[in-house]
Amino acid sequence: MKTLKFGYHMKLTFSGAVNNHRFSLKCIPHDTDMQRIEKMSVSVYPDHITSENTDSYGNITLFGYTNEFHNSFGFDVTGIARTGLSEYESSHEIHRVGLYRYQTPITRPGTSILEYYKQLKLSDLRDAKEKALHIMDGLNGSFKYGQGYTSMETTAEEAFAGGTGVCQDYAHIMLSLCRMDKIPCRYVTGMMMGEGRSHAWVEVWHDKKWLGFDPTNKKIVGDEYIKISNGRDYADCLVNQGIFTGNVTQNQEINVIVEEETDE
Amino acid sequence: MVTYTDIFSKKERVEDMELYAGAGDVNEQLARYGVKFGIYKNNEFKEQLFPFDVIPRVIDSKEFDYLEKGLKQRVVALNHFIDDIYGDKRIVKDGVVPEEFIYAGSGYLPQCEGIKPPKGIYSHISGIDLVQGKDGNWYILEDNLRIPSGASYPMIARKISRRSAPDLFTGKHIEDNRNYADLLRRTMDHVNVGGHTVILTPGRYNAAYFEHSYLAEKTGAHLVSGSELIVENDHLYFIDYSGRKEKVGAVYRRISDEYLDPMNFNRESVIGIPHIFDIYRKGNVALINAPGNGVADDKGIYYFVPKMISYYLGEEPILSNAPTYLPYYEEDMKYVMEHFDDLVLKDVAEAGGYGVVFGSKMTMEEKARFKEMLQKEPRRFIAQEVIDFLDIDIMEKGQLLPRKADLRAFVLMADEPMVWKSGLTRFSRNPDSFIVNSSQGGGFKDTWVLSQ
Repeated sequence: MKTLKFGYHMKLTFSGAVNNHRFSLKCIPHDTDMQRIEKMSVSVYPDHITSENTDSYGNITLFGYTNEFHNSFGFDVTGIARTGLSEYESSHEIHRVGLYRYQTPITRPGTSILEYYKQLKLSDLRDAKEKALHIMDGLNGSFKYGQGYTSMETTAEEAFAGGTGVCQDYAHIMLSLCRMDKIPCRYVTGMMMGEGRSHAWVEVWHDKKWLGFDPTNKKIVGDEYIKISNGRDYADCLVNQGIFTGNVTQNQEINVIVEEETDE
Repeated sequence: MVTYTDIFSKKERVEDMELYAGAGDVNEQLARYGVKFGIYKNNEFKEQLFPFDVIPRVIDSKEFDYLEKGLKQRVVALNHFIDDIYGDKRIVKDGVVPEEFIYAGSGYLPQCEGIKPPKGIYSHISGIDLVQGKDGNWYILEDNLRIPSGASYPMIARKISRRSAPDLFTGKHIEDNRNYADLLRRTMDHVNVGGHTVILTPGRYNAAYFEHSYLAEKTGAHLVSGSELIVENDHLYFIDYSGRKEKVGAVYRRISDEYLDPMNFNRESVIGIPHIFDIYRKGNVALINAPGNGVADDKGIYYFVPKMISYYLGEEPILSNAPTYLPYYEEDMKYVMEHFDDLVLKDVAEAGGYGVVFGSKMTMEEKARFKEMLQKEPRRFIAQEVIDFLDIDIMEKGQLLPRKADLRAFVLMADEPMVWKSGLTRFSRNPDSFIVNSSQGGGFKDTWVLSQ
């Protein structure tokens, strides 16, 4: 168990003024079996009219709009989380688990993943957990970490064929492989101890529980992680989605800091 | 079984109707009213007239009573199904419908999981396509639960015909079909959560724009485009001509799920309303029909509708499906392979008469290729016995010609299910074709339901 202090800061800077800005944000962690959010403050700027909702995957969604002209847009989410309260997440929605068993346009395999899947020989393994571990270990050797090789739109197949990518790609490839084996699994967006960007990993349905696997770091997800959202793939977990009026370019800065809280 | 020959005298049939058809009067007036059907062909939008045939399809009251009971039963069961799928999924758990027909189908929208629409109604307006076989039996061909169109055509054709050829109506006991607007209004009002009722159109370049404007006029609902609606503070508002915002409680949206809300579905959509789905989720507006209904009307699910009726209602289905095989099941695959030439194969992902092939019309090579594809993707196709349709007469250049036709019946769900006592009869103008869709050049007839 850990007590983690977290801060998630996102800022979009536009090259000119925009208005009629509508946004949906999935940037707020919530309580699960594994984590409890003890303190939290959320601010969205500039001043917006904001509503809250929970989507079909159980993620907290903030949505709203502003009609005022503005040159930047962002949010700050800070708080304290108790993590590692359990080793897994149980599901209150077992009837819905099947929906995570099927490929999406992003995870659908092509020839390179199909070929790799055959090499993995998953049928020799006993259960979903063993298979997930095997996939995670294999991927760690077969896929290299590197920024700038893939984009937010890259599919699992494209990423794997290219051989290099980031956490989002690791997660999509793992989802694709698990789903080829009919294992329900979901994409997770969250934060990990340290400083940098947000992180992505995978949860696999095993023995009526969700177990977290981080294929990028070849780790079982434990108390160093704070989960924000989950879905079938990245597209269900977009941290920030917006439309606005204005012919501008935009620059996004993200800074995530998670550190262990020391007793004062 | 009655036909028009039973209610029209010989003189009416031979002389009056010919005169009436020959004058081209109704078609001319329909054109003037703008009763057109738009289609996209080679990426170009073309409007074409929807040719009207003067000879009505006639259904006697007893037969229609039977259809009415069967249609209500079917739509009620389908509504239970959608509610179950986006809720507890009992029918999947109980093994009646295999999971992959839900999740791997194109009509299922995970965004709709857990949402209960106002009054629990999903398919407010259902267009159920039927055909009558030569044996006199009716078969369901297809359920349309997304945004079925077509009711306006017989409505306006009846109106113009009554004016153009009043004599043909004299002494006939026909159910008035001009009440469709009342049924629709009642349906929309029933789920309205407070505020105006609007009909949302993607605009005049839509295939059914005539219908959108006609139904708006007849029901007294505002006809609006996406840019006139705005979500603010968890509610939907209509911006009127003076810039004032008026609350909207029900939207009969004639745009597909995909384009409804760029924040929740297709992000490229410019005709949708950002965040409308978020407030729908909160119960603050009714969407007619509910998003996600596609899970219940694809051709794969069609196979299971009779099973749904037994499962949810504990009743025997009153109306039958066309005999259908699901190659997904081994037994059915075997049957399909052995009786390939007797069957029609349909791609479950296609609509509008596309993706339909007849086994008997394929060359040996095409057959081999198709069978291979079927083995590879068994879930993608259904196979059906070719129904020997009952031909109905149309009049072309003074001649009576037999043609294939279907019937789209409209079932509206308010506090109770209601079947419109009319319907859209579509016929194929090509004597060899079974495909009657207007997008493929078919025509239409009025459907007369006799009141006694």
